[in-house]
Amino acid sequence: MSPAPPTRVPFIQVEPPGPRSQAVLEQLRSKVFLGVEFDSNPFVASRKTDYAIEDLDGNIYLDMSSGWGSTPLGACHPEVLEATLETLSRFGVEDSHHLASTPLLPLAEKLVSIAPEGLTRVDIALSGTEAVEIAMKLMRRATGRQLILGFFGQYHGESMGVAALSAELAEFGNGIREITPGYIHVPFPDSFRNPFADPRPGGTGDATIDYIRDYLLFHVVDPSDVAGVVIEPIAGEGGVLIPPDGFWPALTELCDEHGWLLCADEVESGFGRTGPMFAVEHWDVRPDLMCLAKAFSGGILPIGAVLGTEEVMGSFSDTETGSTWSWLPGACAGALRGIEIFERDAVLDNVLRLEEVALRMLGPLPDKFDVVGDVRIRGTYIAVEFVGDRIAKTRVPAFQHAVELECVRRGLVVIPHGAALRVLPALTMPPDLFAVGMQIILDSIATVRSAGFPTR
Amino acid sequence: MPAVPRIVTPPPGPKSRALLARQEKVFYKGLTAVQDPLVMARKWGHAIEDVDGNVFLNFSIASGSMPLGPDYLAVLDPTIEALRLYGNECTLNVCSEPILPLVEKLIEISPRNITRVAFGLSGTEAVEAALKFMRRATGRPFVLSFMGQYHGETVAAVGAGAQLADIARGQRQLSPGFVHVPYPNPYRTPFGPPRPGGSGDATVDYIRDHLLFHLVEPEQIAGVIIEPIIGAGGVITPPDEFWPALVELCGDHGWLLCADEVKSGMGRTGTMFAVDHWGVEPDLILLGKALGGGVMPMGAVLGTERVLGTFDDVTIGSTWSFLPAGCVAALHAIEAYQELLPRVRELGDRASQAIGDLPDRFEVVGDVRISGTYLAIEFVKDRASKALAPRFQRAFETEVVQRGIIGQAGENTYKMLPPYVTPFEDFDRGMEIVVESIDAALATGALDEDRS
Repeated sequence: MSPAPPTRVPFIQVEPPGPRSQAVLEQLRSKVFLGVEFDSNPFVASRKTDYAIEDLDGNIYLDMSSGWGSTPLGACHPEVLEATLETLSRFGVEDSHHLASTPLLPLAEKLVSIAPEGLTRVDIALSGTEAVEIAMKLMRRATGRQLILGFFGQYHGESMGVAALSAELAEFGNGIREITPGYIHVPFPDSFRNPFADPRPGGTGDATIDYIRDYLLFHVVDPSDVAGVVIEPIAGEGGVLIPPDGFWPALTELCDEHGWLLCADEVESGFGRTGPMFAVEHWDVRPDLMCLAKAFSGGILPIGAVLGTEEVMGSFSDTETGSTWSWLPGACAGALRGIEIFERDAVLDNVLRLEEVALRMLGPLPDKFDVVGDVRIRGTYIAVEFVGDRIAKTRVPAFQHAVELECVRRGLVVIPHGAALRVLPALTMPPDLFAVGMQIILDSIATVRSAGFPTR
Repeated sequence: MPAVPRIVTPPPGPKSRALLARQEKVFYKGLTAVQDPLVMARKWGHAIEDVDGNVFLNFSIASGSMPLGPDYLAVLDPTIEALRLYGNECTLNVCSEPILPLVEKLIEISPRNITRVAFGLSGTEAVEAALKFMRRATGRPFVLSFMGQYHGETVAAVGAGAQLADIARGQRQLSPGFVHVPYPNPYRTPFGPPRPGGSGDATVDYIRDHLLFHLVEPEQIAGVIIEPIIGAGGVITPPDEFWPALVELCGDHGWLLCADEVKSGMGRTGTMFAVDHWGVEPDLILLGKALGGGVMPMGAVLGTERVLGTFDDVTIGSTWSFLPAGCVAALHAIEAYQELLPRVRELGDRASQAIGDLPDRFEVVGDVRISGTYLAIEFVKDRASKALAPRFQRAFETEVVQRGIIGQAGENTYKMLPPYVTPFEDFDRGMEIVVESIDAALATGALDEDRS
């Protein structure tokens, strides 16, 4: 058994990187791909417990990255861990495409029982990346159409299909965009930065859908060539972008009209992150496909899933999907136990408690700091967007990075390098501890701002 | 533990059948359509036990990813300890203690020119990353690949692969940037002998004389991705003369040589990497499957300074690439593989003795290919045409499962990947079962259907 969790979180006794972490990081930098920089969190973890990360130098960090949103119940939740280890010891890894094992069926049946109406079948995946790759294959096969509509600001992963679907930052498309036909991108229905005027009179009621109908489908693409839409119901890496309520009925109507499939990428937004179990529930949207991973795992082993309707998953069998380790038996046991804990411990109720704390502490930031352009909060999906100028909304990534580093110096691990400063805390974090993290964000912004850090 | 194998009721038994029927209601049809007719209750060492109490020789080992069984304690115990310490983690965001020891070990066991490591969650992810690196390092769009190779199911991995045309259905048009040539396959090749004054190898002659002359300029090609011994496509080993010709070709044009060792690496063929058989030093080596030690998902890209040490602006991987516990599992697994290499070769020798002469004993066996514990049998209607005998192969696959072997079915070959830890006695019994199953399949009349 591991020793007891630390009592003081956070606790910084030596400024990171401490000497031991520094020595390991220096070694690693000469031996790994140059693109792995370890610069956002300059320390080496030696263990994780609940909501804390301990490093080689004895520093204790409050963890608000939670395995990039993949440990919703805190690190190493004991019940998820035991379920996983028992099954892992019994099966090791397995290629579940080839051989079924007893842990598969209970998880699939459970997943279908909690899914939005109409999603009756499951395909197995190793990760979120794989889930979205699978979803696009099934969309193309089900419709016989090649084009998929994606949105600016969305991130779906790094393998070629999902990298092409993604459009978070233009530079990520270098060397990729030109060898990946089959995608069209439109602006995300973003309330803070939106290129469109108000919805036109007599239109769909939503400016983004008006643009798709009036311009894209009129000039560029015939709707009968489009298989469907992949959308993050709330865009995560793009900075917690929340579409307006009017967007969803307009999108659903558009899909229905042209036989497009609607695929919700809930890899990050699913499993309670935004309040309800799935983000589409905010608007009662019923997608044809839904992609899951990260928090779905329960926090120990990798797993992803694609949920689908009978139309996309029950009518053909000739499309190969996934990889060797899709639905490892041990991962299935851990994921199932995780869902049971979500229900038993009313985890979603705590998400709303954390949301209240975030709204209270971060909500007023735009009034307090000229450099805070917008704060977006839905459940524990939280983003603070910095601007050099309120009117022009100039982006200031260097300022944001300085705040992130100040947070780490004060013992808070956040999600670095996004369009906005983000945190993805465990959903079960006690509100008091969560408030400690929120206060560190406030203090870090104040410190960096008062240090005269240039914002333009 | 019960004897291995031990069939108590013809698979699928009643309990497996009931579970499989329920699975058909909730899973994607393309998943349940391809699963074997049983549901596993547990595994150990070289064995699988199903919910009906049948025990099978595990000669598929999670598609090659579990050479030590699930319960090799020198790997399992430290992995469990690491899972207790870390759970999962995004290593690209938060570094942890187990990363460096594995990185150092990987560099230590690699060919001399390999100096750096990039992280992956799986073999597929390693392939996707490598293709990005190759194109970025050279600034060239095309990658040369070989027919018969399998690299995975994501878009670029499918594009690079060409095992079976139907895998790429609806996908080929979405991943431009690949050129495919026939694999240097001693059993089936469209080419005549190497031409006088040529490269010394017929496949490389074809690339030089035809492909590069008529179709693609060499300056447009970033490099070559190759399985040094083809795995899923049927354990195909290139002739010795192919390698110097290929290496020279790459050298002439500044092409990067990328060895996909996801399946062939980590001792499977009797050496740590399959390229070690020929002393080839690739610019990139891709790992997955057995790298995880049979307990964790892991992938890796090993590379030279030129490929991994000169630019930092390529994004790869995903949240779970190089999980802390995966690194612990891989480190201990590599140590186990190093110790077990002689045993892998011994198992290969026993296989050669037991089934190497099947083509002489059965007209229906076109070829038997063995490289360490990588075994493949290719069934043909007749020796002259080498036409595949799919009905016979399916009959054989049914017979072999009924007798207690779980191997890997395939379109053109039946493959077996026995664990390195298989006891010799049980292994030899497995080889006998293979022969008995051929006899039994011949008695079904399936071959006559293939021939008519």
